[in-house]
Amino acid sequence: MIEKATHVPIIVSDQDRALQFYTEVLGFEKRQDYQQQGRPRYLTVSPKGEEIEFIVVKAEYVVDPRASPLADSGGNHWVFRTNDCRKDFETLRARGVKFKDPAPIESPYGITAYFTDSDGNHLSLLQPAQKTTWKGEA
Amino acid sequence: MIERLTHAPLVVSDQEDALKFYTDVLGFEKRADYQRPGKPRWLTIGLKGQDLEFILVQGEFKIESHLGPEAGTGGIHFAFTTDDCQGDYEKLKARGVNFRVGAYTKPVKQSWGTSVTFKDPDGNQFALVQPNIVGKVYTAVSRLKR
Repeated sequence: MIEKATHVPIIVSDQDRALQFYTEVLGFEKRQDYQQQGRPRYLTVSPKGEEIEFIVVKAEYVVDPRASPLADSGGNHWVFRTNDCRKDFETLRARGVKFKDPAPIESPYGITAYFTDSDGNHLSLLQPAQKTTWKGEA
Repeated sequence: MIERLTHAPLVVSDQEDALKFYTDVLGFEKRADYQRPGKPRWLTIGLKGQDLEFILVQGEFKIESHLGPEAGTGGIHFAFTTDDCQGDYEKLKARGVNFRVGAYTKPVKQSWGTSVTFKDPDGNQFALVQPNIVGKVYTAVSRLKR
């Protein structure tokens, strides 16, 4: 039986620049970083305490499914849960992250903030509402 | 503080076909299916017992040198654990899943366990990993080191 997801890929054009963004800006941990001969560099990062690792893969889109950085992601985004969206918003903005909106947004499902990584991958922070029967978009 | 990854995107050319594949063939659960006026359909799936949801995003993608799991580490793929790699392979193959990824077509024994690679109908690539005792100890030790 397929039990759980352990790794998800995120595509970047420059692994070092992405590593810097994910560790120094977002505060993730570097988990794996090695290269077998003749193979691509295997680089993974993840938030502290999270089992699932991001494989930071160097590649280029020929047909790019991502919306432009300031546009709505159309659902093509990664969502991270936070315990304090407003505080993270300020911390990350001070580190140079460009958010789409001037402040976090209140929604029925919680407080959320949208931004992009160093390659234009769409990310979002979500501090879920305490009590919600919301079953729609997160 | 960023605590968890809760949603990851999967780009597919047809949400309905993808939903069928991920639920009927792979055995995922449908989690959310909602459409606000003027917005794309918000459709998510997840594995029983795991919070993480995959957002099935309607779109098109093509990647230069689409390295799959056959590139060994470093290829572009999602990875899942399983308790029975060979059993899943046989079951999913009977349901028509494409296990031809690079030079590989069936489960391969590694020092750390058994793995097999497959593709969804849109070319997203996956590794299904059954760690043996070596793989399990390695994962446990790396977790302790953190």
